[in-house]
Amino acid sequence: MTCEQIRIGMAEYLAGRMSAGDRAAFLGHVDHCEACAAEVEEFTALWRDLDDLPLPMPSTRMLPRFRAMLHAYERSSRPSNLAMMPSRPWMWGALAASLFVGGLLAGHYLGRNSAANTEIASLKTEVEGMRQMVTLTLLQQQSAGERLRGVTWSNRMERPDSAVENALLTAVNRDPNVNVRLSAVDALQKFTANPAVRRALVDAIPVQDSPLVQIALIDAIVPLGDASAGSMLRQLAADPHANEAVRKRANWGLRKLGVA
Amino acid sequence: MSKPIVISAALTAAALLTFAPARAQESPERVVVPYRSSGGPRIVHASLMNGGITVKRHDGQDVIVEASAHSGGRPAHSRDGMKRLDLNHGSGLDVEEDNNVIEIKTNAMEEESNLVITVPANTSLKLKCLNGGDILVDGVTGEIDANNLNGKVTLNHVSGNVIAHSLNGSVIVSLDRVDASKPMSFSTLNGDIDVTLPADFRANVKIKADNGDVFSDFEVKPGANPHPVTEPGDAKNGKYKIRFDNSMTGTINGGGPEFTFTTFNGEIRIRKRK
Repeated sequence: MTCEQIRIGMAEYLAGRMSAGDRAAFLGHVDHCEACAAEVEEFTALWRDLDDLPLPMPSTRMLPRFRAMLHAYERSSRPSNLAMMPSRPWMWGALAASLFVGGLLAGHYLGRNSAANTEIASLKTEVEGMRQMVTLTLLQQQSAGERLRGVTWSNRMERPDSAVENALLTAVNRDPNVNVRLSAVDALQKFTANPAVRRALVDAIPVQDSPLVQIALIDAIVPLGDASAGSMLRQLAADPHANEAVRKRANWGLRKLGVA
Repeated sequence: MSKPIVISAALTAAALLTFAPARAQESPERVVVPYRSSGGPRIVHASLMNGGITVKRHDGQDVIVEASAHSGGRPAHSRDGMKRLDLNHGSGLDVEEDNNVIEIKTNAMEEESNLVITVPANTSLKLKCLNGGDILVDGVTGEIDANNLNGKVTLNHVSGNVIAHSLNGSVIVSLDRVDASKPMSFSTLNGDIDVTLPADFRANVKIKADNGDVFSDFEVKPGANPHPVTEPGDAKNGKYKIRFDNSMTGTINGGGPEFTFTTFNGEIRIRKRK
């Protein structure tokens, strides 16, 4: 992709409407082009801010002004007073025009709230979808810093979905960076209502090569009071190859779960 | 897309062997990687089995990699009047460049070799050490990812974004400027964490210290869970002492990107740059 195509594709990228192939080409270019990366960053921030933007409300003076205008119009067009009726063709035109404008204003301001509400709802869904996409995309980046950003993006989602859940579990098990794994364990705490996630967190402990992440996993699981973690913790506590701090923590977990 | 260039340091070593058979005990191998103006931003990846990595800044555009192998404890250079011909017991330095991404490895498994990498100020780093060495970075701006198993991680006067971990060593970082949009993370199992940050930096902090204390001269406004107790009376060096179960969340200067500090057996110090 050229820089020009990046600029054209920006909106589609932010809205998450890009096909997988196009997105790969898009990110491929952005990875290597500092100018485009900066631009994408800027637009992403803007897009994020849009969500926090308060909906502009009509000024409080608008309604009395409109009523006054309507009142004046009503008085001027009372049928009992035919003399008040416009006598020249251009006046009819003016009247028609003011009616038209009045109707537009009324329609605009009276109909606005319900339309705005559905608009907000659909925007929210779109933003939620965008957050999911940003999370998933960032979690696949080369740089640990970007993947860490991906993990923290998942915290912004109101209702994280299974795609994000899986990406975070993959990060816990496979991410080459210890700090990204630690953050992923932390981010998964809000998914622990799902028994599959609890199970996956327990299963992650023995395959984990970092003692610090193992401890974080024990700390995430034990407060859930799930005694099924007991056998794994017992194995870990007895494993002579495990790090001493990890063995201690496993023993602590067993006591907490009341299965020591 | 440019073709990757591979510089085999074995060649350098061979040259040294030919022209200077009586090498010094510690003979640095040196590789200079020029900057490609057409390439992407400069990224240096270095990983070592044995030994430490030092990264220094210079005003030039090249990246200079020097590896020194210690012929640790090997006997004298001559025997019965003969000189020892040093075979390539060197660092086995391997430097590869593609599009301004520079990969540095050493193949020496048994001997300790130390890397000194000199880089332009704006360079991102990904550094990894396993045994017997420290990671030391001075004055670099970029994204810095440093990972050590048994040694310290020390980052002095760096700017940008830092992710640092050491299993058994301390993590000591001083940041001159921070990238306001990116999260950072500092972790260690058995060492201390000591991070100095600009007085006006903003963050949402997550602090976890299972068996140690946490000190800061920033005002950490506690988040929802759990409830720490700030004890101004119990100050050490004019710092607040924050007590809590084993973790806390909070905000500094009104909040910002997420900063995570994790240690299991060590102490955490979050300092304000004076």
